[in-house]
Amino acid sequence: MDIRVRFSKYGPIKYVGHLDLLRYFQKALRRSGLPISFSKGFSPHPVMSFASPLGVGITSEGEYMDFSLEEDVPCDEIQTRLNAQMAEGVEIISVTERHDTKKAMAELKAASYLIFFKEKNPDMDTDYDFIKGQIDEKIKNADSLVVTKKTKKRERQVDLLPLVYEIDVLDRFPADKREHYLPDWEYNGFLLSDNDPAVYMKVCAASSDNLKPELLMNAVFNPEGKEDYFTIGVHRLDMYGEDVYGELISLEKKDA
Amino acid sequence: MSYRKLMLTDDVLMSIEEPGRYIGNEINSTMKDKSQVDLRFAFCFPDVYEIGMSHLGIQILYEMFNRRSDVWCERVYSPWPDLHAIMKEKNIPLFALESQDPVHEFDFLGITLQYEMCYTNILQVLDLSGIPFRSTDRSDDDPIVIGGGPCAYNPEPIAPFFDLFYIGEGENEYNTLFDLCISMKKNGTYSRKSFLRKAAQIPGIYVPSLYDVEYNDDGTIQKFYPLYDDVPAVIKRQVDTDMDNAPYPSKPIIPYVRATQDRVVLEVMRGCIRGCRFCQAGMVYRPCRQKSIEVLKKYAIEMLENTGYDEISLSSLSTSDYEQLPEFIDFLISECEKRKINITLPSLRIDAFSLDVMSKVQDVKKSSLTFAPEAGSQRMRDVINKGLTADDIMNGARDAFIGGWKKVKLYFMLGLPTETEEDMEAIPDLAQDIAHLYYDTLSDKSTRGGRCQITISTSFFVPKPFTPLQWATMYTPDEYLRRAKVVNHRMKDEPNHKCLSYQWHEAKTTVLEGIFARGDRKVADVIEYAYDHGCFFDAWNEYFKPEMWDEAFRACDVDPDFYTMRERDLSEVLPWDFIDTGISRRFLENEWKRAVGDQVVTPNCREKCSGCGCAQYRTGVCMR
Repeated sequence: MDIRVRFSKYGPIKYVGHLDLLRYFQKALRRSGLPISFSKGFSPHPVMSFASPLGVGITSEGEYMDFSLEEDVPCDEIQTRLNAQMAEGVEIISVTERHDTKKAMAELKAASYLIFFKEKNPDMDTDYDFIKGQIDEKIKNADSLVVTKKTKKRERQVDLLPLVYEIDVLDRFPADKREHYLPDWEYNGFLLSDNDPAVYMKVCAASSDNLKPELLMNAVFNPEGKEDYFTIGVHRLDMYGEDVYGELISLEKKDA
Repeated sequence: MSYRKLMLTDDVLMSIEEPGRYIGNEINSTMKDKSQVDLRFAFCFPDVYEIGMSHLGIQILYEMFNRRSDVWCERVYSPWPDLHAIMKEKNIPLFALESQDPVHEFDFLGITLQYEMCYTNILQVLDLSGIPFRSTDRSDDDPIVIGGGPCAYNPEPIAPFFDLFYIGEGENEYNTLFDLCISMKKNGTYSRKSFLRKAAQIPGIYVPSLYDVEYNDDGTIQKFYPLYDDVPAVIKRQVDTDMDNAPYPSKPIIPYVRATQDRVVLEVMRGCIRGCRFCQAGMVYRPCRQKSIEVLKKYAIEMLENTGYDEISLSSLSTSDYEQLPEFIDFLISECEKRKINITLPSLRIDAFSLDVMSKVQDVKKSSLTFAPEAGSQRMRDVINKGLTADDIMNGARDAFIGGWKKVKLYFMLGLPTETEEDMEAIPDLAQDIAHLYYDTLSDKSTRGGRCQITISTSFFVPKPFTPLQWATMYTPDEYLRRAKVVNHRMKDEPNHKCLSYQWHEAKTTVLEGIFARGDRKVADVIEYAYDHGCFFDAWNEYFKPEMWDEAFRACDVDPDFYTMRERDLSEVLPWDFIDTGISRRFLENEWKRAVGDQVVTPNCREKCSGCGCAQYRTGVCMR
């Protein structure tokens, strides 16, 4: 039985990196007592895979993990048993049975994010009009937004605009999301009050052209790469694959 | 929604290495309502999180303390130097992981002393907590700073930094100490001074400020004595006499950040029957006490189910000496196969039984076998009472090669008492014999599949308190390196030198460790000076600053050679003589003479009781 789990990650556990989170889930799966499928060999471990690693410090309500069970178990029971093993800040939002054997990582085409600003950037204007003006000018009404991507071996010019599927400036970060996923916002100097704008975006996340929101926002607001000028907060909303018509569809719904 | 507010802000956490070290709230950690407890205990391992979280002792006491509804025990580790700098700059107080509250608000700060090279980190923890370094400078509002663990068997070099030490196994008297503190705070009679005076009456508790030392002109101790009549002159080591009912963490904390010990650790036995003369643990954990196999089976299953770890390891000083090991291993193999769990078996003597077990639980091709002959020549092994003969080693190695192993690790010590050039050269010679045996045993080139790899590793011997070698001299760093070179040169001349490799330990660290191990109260000034001038994380080569330590000794007018470069006379008062570990002075002196004089071995505790004195605890192997 192939299973896809959607989960959230927020609170202190957002500082736990991807590899540590993987080990956390391996242990949680074992503790749950579910009949999980194991790899072969001298050190068998639960076969599991994640759609996409989440950077340290980023919150999310749209993470995905696939694994398999040796026997059928009702999805709601799987959800209850896994949630009983979760630490604060990780919630199993949904459990679906999968019939397509393709893994989430291979299906992944796009991801959506909410972006907010931080007090740490005293030199930068962060009011709604300024942010909206910049996004309109450099993305919505522009023909291209070219950045230099550096890899270990070479530099290359990339136009980011084809990778941006949707972008909008919101007059505020949704209050219910703020209270649930970022209750520590005031203490940490995140600009999440009712007067602070936020940016919604849906961008390419396919492995070859994965667009990190930080890269896009830097290209718009800090093209010269000034130090200590610009830091943003990122909250991942969801991840998407493609349906049979080529339309983006949440990984949760796909083949459910 | 309620949430735990972290002490460190997002900006700080995002600018340091491994922020997951500092967030707490790991699975199986204990959260309590601080308004509902009478006593808060911050338990510190003064090294980085990944090392500290691997330590079994804290997990045992954490479990025991938190079983009390009126006590909340939390954890503290040394912030890594990157965070240390930020905390100093921004005045962020050191905090406990669970509540994220400042250590300064706690009733107790307990610091476990597992190795001498962490001593400057004790000062780091006090510094960041805002607690004065010296017990005498603290106020009633400061936490009581208590030390324990193996290094507490000579607490003197760090005595001024502690309000009290717990000598021996924590299972026995911590509850008495907590009850005393809680009742004094409740009835309004608590003050630091009055509490320490009363605590000094509890068995195993040593309050350094209630004792004074007088020295002879040559720097040795003339007299060590309590300042008041009601303060005991001798502190007795505490021993848990009921291992089966001792508290044990059946739900150990599971770190997010990968700890060094990333597995279930099951203590099968405490103490050791062997009596190796260099080994402090082998002396101060006497008598050897085994847990019953029923208890071990129960804990093994519970701990695997409560953690989800994919590996289990057995812990003791010499697991091969656990009498029901074959039966217990059979149980583990069948249970772990069902659950897809790996088994690791450190500290097993290499023989037919252990090789058979290991071939079942590990990948022979990838793993290496470890022998710890400790010394190269039989004469030297007799001096240290390591009852392992060349035949034992060769037979074990032959069986191993036939079983498919190709990698062998050999551990030795250099600088042991009476060591000669021949003893040093015997180290690579033994490795050569093993390499030769490989080609002898597997003579068919087409089937043996390549070269064997023998790794020789030497540390330099550090004499430790309460061992028969506690009177021995040490050497200069140059002399240690000369001895390592003798080994290295000889190795390069061996016929099979292409199969051999050699690594040796840092010599300057060894000498400093030796000073701390057998130092007196005068050494405390040096440690404080060194910390004030930037020394900490001395156990980490990249942070060890030998020149600064040289300067510290000069500045404090303390001669390091006094502690290392002389053999002590049997009549000398040793700084740790006021502690009674249960091992008689006569036994230690006798063993010292048998080591360096007669050079004969002493039978192990199961073969014959040698009258070390620990039978007074009436438990374990002594009750046969």
